[in-house]
Amino acid sequence: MKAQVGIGFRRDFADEFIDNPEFNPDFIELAPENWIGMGGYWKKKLDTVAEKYPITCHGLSLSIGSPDDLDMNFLKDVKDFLNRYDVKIYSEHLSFSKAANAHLYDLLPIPFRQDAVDHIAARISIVHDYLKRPLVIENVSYYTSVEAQMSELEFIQKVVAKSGCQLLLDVNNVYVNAFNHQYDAKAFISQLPLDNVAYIHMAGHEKVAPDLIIDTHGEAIIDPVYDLFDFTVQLLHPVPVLLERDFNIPETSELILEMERLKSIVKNRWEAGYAVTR
Amino acid sequence: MLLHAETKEIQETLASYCRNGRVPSINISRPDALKHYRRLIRNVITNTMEAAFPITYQWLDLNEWDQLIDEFMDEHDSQTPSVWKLPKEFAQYVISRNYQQLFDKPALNDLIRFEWCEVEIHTLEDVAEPDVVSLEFTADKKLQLNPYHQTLELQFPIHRLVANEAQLQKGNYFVFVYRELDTGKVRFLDISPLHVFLLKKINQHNISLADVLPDLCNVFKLRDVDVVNKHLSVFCRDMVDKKILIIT
Repeated sequence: MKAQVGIGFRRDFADEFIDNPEFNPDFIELAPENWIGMGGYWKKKLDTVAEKYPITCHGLSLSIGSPDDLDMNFLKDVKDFLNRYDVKIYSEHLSFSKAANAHLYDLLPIPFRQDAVDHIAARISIVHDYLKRPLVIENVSYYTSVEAQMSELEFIQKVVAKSGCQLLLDVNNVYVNAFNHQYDAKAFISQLPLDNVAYIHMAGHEKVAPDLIIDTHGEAIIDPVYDLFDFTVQLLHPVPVLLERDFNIPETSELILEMERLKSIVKNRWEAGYAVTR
Repeated sequence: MLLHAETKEIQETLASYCRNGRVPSINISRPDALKHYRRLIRNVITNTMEAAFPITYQWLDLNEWDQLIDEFMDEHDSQTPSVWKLPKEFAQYVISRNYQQLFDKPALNDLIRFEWCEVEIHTLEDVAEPDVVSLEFTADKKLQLNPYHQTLELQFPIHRLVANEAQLQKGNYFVFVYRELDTGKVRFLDISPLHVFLLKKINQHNISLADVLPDLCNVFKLRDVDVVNKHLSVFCRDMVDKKILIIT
């Protein structure tokens, strides 16, 4: 299988996707919330890039772990959007971003508890059935656990086992969490349900204190995260890989170099007679 | 519900902290890191509002702006899943809570409505656009309005003057805001009550200037129909050139 490396489509550098012949991601990813219901200038841009690139979607507001009910009106809009742009992969975060009838627009940590596992697994099933496509779930970065009764690893394992969902493995998030909560990133990844991994995210982050990293998507990927990525892909069958860059957007040439480096790693591991070494 | 009441309460307590900053009494592994959740959410909200309301942001002093953001986060339950639509809720919140009186800035409501209107028209969902069949205006031709428009009635001319100066000129101002069909750019036009009446009738019934004239002259008690016809023909011709009025 050919290694696919994509990048997040952002308005800050939207024209590069259309006009720059050097900039050729294999696919693009976007958050449906940022485009649903939008017309005019930006809708035209979206339609133009949609003609040029396959699209994956990575949602922000479904709030799969929320104590509030699923928003079925929103889900209908998402479904229409996914159908309109022929989106094959729709992913969301293993977190919550809505509570007490209010959206928060960031990813809050779900208490690692069995009832939360059951709650989320049931909701994944509802979403899956409604959208008639898998809901891929991402391991998120978190800065503190909240009233936890199990580990993060156990929580992810149980959600995947109970729901049967596919996993979006965000390698940078594992690195960030391993640093912040002092565990072994490679051991963590090795124990994930790797057969369920359908997609990988890679990104940069920011260290805000000697013992705390924030997952900003605003910096270049650092070497230790590339190393962890290299370790990870040896454990996986080929899946699409995405470079996330949301803030502090650099020159396009730097993004191209980052994508090339990712591609080089997966080509080495996946195209040169790949073997899963687990 | 599979989620226990206790877990639900924990989640709502955490969310509440993010909105109001009151430190929760829940068991967390890294108390030092908690503040970053509130900081990140506040960054999303304030960056979104600064982008949508750049003139308001510049006009208010920083304390006033921070007060708006903090109280909006605390008191308003944000309903839209799309953060780019949140400025609409923010504008409604600011107007409903009468911050213009609190801050002694009488033009605040007008300015915030005006700025949101620009965003709203720019991003209005696409609809079937009427075909432009001719650019030759005559009073008897049926007209249709560009579907992407809004007429704002303002008390202060904040579309012409900086807000502090606009506040000195209280009156009745009508601004026609529209999206150019070709470029997607948003434009503004100062119009009169006569124009507002005319455009409203055309928008409702897709009729010609000649169709509107009798009613218009009657409502505004204008006796010289020819003069009115000449004046509005010039206006309509310009609107046809700009593809605001479309001959169908």
